[in-house]
Amino acid sequence: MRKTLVFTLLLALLSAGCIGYVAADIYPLRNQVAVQEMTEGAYSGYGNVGDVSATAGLTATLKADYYKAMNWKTEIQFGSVLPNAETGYHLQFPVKKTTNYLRERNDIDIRITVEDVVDNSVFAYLAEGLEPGQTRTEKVYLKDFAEYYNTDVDILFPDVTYTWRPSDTTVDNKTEEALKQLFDTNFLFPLGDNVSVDAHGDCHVQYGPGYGYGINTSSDTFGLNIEETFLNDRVYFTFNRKGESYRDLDVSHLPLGYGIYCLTVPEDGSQPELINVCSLDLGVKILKLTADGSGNILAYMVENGFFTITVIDSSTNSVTQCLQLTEFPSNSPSWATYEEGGVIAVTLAHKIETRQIILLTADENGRYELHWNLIIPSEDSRALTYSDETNKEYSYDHAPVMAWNGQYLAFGLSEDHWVNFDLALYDKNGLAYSGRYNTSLNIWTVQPDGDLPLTLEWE
Amino acid sequence: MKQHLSVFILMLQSIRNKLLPILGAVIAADCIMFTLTARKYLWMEDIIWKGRISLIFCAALFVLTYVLSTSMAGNSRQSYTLQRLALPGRTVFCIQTLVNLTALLLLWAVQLMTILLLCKIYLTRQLASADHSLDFCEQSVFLVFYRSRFLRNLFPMESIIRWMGNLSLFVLLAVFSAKAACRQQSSRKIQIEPLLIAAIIGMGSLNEIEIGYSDLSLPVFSVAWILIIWRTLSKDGPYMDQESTINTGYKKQEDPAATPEELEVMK
Repeated sequence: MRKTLVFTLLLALLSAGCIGYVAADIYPLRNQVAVQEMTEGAYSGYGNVGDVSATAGLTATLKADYYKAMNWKTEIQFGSVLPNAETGYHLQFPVKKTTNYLRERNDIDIRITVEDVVDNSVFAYLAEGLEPGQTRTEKVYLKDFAEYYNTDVDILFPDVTYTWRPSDTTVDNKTEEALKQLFDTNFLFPLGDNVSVDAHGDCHVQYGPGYGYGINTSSDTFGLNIEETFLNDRVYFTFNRKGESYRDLDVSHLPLGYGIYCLTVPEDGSQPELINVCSLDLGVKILKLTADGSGNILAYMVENGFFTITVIDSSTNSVTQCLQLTEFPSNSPSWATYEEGGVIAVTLAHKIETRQIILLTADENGRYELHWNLIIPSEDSRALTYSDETNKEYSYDHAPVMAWNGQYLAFGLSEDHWVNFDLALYDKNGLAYSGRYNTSLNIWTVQPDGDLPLTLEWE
Repeated sequence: MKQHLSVFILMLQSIRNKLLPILGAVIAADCIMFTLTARKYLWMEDIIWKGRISLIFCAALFVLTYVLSTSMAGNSRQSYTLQRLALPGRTVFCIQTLVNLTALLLLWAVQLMTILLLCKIYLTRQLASADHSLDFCEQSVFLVFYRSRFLRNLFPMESIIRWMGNLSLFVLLAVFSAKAACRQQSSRKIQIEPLLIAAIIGMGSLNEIEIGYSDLSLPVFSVAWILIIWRTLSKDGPYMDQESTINTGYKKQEDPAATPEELEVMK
């Protein structure tokens, strides 16, 4: 009997011990992310270049997740052959489900639409003389009835959203009403001669005559290709005259003219204001609008074939500098920018043999001046392009991140679906160091964070 | 106290000879299926899924539940001894529940430990292999415990609610098996309830159902059900619940030859 008792107790202890052992064995592995510098041969063509000591003081933060449930944030401190990595880990379970209609903040959308540009009653004639059950349809050119498109607008500040549609008969508050009026009076896009709708009239057996119009392909709604940046209670924005679904938008009727607009929506509820802070030529192509962290708004543009930066002082809303950087190749090169603490860096990845890095630094008066203009041969252009050699360009969403320490401009470029990255340091002479770093999370189904997988920071 | 201990041991004896083969079969089946499937698939979660490791666990759980539910069948020697000890019904029921829970936990632990060791051996081989060393890392075992639905449900890591859900289901299964075993004292009819609970656990481990795994409803439901069962038990009566007593009355068993251990208990 005692044997049975001892045996049972041993079994019970064994089972508890097994479960405990499993926990003790696997759970500590959760944050033990190893970062390894890949050496020549591991990936052909990715051998390291230069002295790794140049990276001393640089920290890379790499975020990765497994279906948003297991989340890792690894801080990698460089400066030695074996980088020092510390990882934070948290499990999000059950996973928070996000829905598509939850939009990011700091966004402005303007859509141009024929919705409600004309009152339905003008089509009443189509229902006249119809017998019950009969219908009549007619293609109607809106130019005969109205002059301008309507706009529907969404403005999403960090804490407040303003949105209205042409069909809205009421708005939520006075601010929104004032905004609607501002947009209705200042964003006047004339209806083209060929913009038509399918007007129809009918006579219902029970309800009698009815009429209205339906949108057809020639009168479709389209969203403006907008670039914007938010600064406190202001949003600076502009739009390109060519978009995915439209081209050569007629901006000649805009009362404020075509340009970069500043919309101020005071938090105290006072009257919103819309001004044009920088008029633009009709041929300009807007690449990006952003704030530099020093009170300036930077507009990256292609103007007359040149990559230019227009600097707008947000305190006076006046243009302080127009910098023509370099010729912008006509073959739509990939590009990326970096702005922080009085430094602007621009990289261009041409589809030809060279890459380019342009660095601007601010003088004591806060005016930007050229610091470098480096032409980088493609064999030294580490982290300036997408790592995969079969795909030599990067998209805007997959551009390198940068950090400047006064001597080196560090570039980091993570891969799309794998948790590893390229690191490259450039100085005034060109490439100073490059390395490829592989993490132990670089395995199937663990993905880099979708928004900003990699950031770089100097001490 | 001695009587209680004796009852506990008697109950263990009644399942020992069936429990160990079940556990051995689980280990053997896991090893065979994992090894065979690893020849076709690379990733451990695929091996676990395609190797039907979860089905092996479910089958073992079903068999074990049946064994526990019929452990005190009317004509067993242990059953006869228990009736003669005349312990309060609730006491016997509690001891039976503890025995059942021990057996279930043992199955749980054996399954976890077997799969962990298999994964570790597999990982060691892959890391040593030149072909796939970059596809695996030390964390791979940790990751597979999340990636595999079966392992995630069996071992939910930080998900306390899921741990509570699992434990409450195991306790509920132990309780129902004990209740079934009590009823088998007077009726040979197979009790369906514990098999249903085993099916729920099995489906849960296969991630076919998510009921109660995201909140506290499962533990609350389990506790409520256990309380209901508790109330149906005869407080001071013989080794059977009130329902059995009312329906069937006390059915005196034939007196089979007692083992020396049972004789010691009866003294």
